[in-house]
Amino acid sequence: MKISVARMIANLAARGRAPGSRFAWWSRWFPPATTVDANRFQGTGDPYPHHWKEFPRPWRAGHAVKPEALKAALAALPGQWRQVVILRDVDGRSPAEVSAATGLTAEQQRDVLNRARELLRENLGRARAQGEGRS
Amino acid sequence: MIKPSAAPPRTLARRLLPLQIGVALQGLILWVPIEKLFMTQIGFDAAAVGVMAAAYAAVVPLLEVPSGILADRWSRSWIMILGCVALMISSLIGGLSRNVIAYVIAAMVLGIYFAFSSGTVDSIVYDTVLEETGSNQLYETWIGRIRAVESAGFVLSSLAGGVLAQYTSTRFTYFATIPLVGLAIIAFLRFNEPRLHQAAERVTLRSHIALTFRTMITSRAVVRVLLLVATAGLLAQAVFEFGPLWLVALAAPAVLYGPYWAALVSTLGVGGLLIGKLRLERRPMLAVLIILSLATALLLTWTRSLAVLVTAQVVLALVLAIVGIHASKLLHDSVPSSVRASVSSGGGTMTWVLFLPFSLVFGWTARENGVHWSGFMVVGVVVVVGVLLVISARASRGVMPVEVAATAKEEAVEVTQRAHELACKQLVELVADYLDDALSPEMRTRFEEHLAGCDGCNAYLSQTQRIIAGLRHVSTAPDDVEVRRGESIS
Repeated sequence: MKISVARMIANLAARGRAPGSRFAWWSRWFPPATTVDANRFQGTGDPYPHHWKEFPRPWRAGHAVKPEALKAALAALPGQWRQVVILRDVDGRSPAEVSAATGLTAEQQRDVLNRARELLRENLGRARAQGEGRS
Repeated sequence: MIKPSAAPPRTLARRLLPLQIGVALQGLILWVPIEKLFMTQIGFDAAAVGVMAAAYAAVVPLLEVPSGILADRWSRSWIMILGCVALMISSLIGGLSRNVIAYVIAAMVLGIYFAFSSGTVDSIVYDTVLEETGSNQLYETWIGRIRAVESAGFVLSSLAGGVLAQYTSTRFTYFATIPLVGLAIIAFLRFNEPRLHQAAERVTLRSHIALTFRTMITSRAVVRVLLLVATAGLLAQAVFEFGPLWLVALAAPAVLYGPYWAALVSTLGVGGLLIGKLRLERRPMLAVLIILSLATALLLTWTRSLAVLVTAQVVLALVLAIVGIHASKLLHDSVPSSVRASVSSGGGTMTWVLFLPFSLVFGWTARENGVHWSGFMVVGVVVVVGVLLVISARASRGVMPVEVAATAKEEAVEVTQRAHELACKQLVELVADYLDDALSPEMRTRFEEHLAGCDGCNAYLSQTQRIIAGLRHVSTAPDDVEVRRGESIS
């Protein structure tokens, strides 16, 4: 018998319900399931479950976000995400227009946008922290 | 739960097509139905079958973690391809082997294929759906479709393999499998793999591994359900691995192995369909399943009729599929989502670990006393599963399922946050909705109440707004064509 029965059964069970349940396997403890990395938040055993472990590092006021840095971060996004961000935030199109252009529903394009903006924020925050460390 | 509004964009279907083709081709392993027959032909006895099963049961858990880390850090498509290569090598060695040792080596190489492919497809589908739609709502729909395609491949190969063996030779089915797997590789190469895991921040290998093992050992509270999952999995694995030995003992003709195997693998799909109709939380239903499994297991110990034997095995496999799904759901309900994946994979590994000594003892007793006598081992595990099922049913009484909320997103909020107050972890999911003014008035109030008292979320929101402000200036740059390039491709 060369089909892992246990795996197939687990996969069948995963079909059931619960959005966000990521069944099955080791490769998924480091999943992009939540918009912000789940490890940034306190666990159920901590004093304030689901609140920040550490607040996001504040950015120094006055420094505008550099377009070059943003462009580099944009290039690292998955294609679909980049397209939505460019349409919504760069070109300033409405959600309805983006839906029409991409075939995504209004809600889907908003989910994509939320995650993509977070990846940009993460990416730029890291770049800033390095820049401040050097100067 | 899928809302009617969450229609799959056409690009998602198009993008997942090569993956579906690849998985289907990969399922066309023609030698699977006649494997035990072939093994008997090259000199295997029941004990040697047990040793072989133990050999690959040892390889899989050893390689699962490393292959998962490799998939996360390198490329999932390539892990699938490496798995295919292992499958081709294993088929080649298996087809060429003329003695037990060579075939055991083939089985161990097959363990590599197992370890590489298990779970990888799931994470590919998950990330692709997330990339294309921004949420994981459609994940279950798509993994369901892909499993259906895979099962269709299994059933087809069972029937075709038996017929092919009848008209050519059992050995030929091994060689005939190799080009099909080669085609699967081509399909995987054509798949545009999700790049989410590359866009996220890189962690060091050491902390990656540490995180893995930390999550793996937090399952103490759910040991009972975990044990149920593992024993039910062990039993199902045993039926699939050793079931054909009964047919060999009764000297069944080669052509019968195909339909027999097709019936066995189809129980996995049928079980998935039935589970929605059966109400397993009701005691009579549970009692019927336990009695049915006990009766079929006892039949395996004495029947000499081929028809009764095949029926008993298929019914037992069906009951086990249902129990397995039920057990997995119990596990789902008893652990928080943050450790769900690792705990359930712990169940999978426990299955393999239990299966190793089981198969050695089973093979040995089958050789010494005949396979019917080994059937008592199946009966024994059935009793354990039955007892665990009864205890679980008693323990889970009174636990109400979480009520279904209006939208998936609000449900996600409700499940983790029972109190009225919104937590930071949920707030960050709602930022785009907030800025688009798409929240319900009640949720908007909760959002703003939280914001008023939380510096962390204030910083988060203001940084997001600064990103948005910055993005407006990107359009004025002359070379923004560069940024846009590729958007129409993917």
